[in-house]
Amino acid sequence: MRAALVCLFGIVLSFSAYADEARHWLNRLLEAEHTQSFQGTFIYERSGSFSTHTIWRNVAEDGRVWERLLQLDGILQETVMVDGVLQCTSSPVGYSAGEDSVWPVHSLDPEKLAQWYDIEVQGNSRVADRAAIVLSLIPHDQHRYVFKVYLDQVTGLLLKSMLLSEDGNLLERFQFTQLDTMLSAYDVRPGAACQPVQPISARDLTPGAWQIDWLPPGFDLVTTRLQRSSVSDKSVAYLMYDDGLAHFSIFLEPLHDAGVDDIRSQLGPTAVVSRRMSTNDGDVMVTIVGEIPLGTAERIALSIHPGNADD
Amino acid sequence: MNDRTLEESLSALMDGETDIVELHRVLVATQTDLALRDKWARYQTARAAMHRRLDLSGSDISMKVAAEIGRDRSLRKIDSVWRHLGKTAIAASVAIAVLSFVRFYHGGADIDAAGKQSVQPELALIEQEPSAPVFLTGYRNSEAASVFDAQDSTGWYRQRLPFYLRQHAQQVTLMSGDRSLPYARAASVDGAAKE
Repeated sequence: MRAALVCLFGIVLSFSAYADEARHWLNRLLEAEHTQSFQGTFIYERSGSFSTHTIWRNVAEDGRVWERLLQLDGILQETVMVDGVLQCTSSPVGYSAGEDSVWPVHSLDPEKLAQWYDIEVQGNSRVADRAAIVLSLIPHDQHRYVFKVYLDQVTGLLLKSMLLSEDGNLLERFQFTQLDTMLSAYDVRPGAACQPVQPISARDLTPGAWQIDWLPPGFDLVTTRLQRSSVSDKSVAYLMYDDGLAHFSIFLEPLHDAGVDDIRSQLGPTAVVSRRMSTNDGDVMVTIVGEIPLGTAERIALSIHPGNADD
Repeated sequence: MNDRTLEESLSALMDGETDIVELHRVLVATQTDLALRDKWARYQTARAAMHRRLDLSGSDISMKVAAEIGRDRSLRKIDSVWRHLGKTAIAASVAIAVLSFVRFYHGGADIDAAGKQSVQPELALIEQEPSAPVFLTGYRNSEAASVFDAQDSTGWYRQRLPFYLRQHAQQVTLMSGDRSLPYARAASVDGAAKE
């Protein structure tokens, strides 16, 4: 009988050990993102698109993370970011500025993720000629997709990721084919093709300007702003939500009598749903853009309406 | 024999020296004579003591039987708790053994120095991957907008969607731990829109 109790205790410990191992690897990924310099080549693939890129990432002495990305096929496209903020790019038109975010930048939070996903270690693998550990992040509900990530066992860096729909369709694949963490220097200086990003004028969105009656559980508001449209002089309200892994954005743009139909479509992993909405100031087009299931995006679009505040 | 008193008959009965008539007389008497019954009990006690089989509970047999049944019931209850615990532990042990084997199988394949076996976990995973069609075509013109052409008679979306998609990806780039993936998503919209 004592043996039986010992067995039971061991089982409980083992299950918690598996969960701990997954969390350990996520923490290693998080640490690598802030501390590991490297150079690598990766592919990105989704329905209708296949592209190859090189990245140089250098973590400076002051802790700032410089990243230079160069697209290797098609039109020359170069991008430089510092701590994720866009500094320059080859096609700066239409990009919003590297403004100081008033919202706290929050990165991967394994504890929060575990509330909405089952995070499990699947086993070992090999990517870009490096040993990798495979993690699966399986959602608890139908409002988010399955993520499968392959992390470098030496550095914890993301080597490969796949986004899968509920019925097992591959929505996108991101995979390194070569990775070097032993260089003496990483060249993150932009070339001539990289042009400075012009700021797009933006201001704070009035709290309560828009009301959302339903949100998928676990998604928190991470940023809002009122910005100038890239096409006209209209003001576009922008809100973004995430659950720590999946993200969706909401755009609210005045229509001013334009005869535009609702749309409902999918671009690889990204759902795009729009709905025409009546307000006191005329019709507004609500557009949801995000890596969430189409049905969830539709439901969000249907649940938005003008708030009490005047905007 | 008919001359013996009841007490003498009782003593004779203890020694097995009564005939059937005398036995009948004693039995009838003990039904009503409490003192005689008491004496009978004392004789029995004395004999048991001599033969070292003394039971001093002094209770009626029916009470003793009831007590025995009660004791047996509580014993059975304790037994079943341990039995249940034992069964659970065995089942759980089997489960953990299976899990450990699966884990070891995935992990153990890495040990092979030849490298062939280390490929197997990846192959196994690939088999689990859905067989989605791989689009190796190059970029299409204004791909982001072309998806919506059928619904975009005014061109409203063609002007705005590439911007929406890029901004969404750029915001994810800013927020998430890994930035290469959202960057690549944005680039897939960019390149398509430019050709």
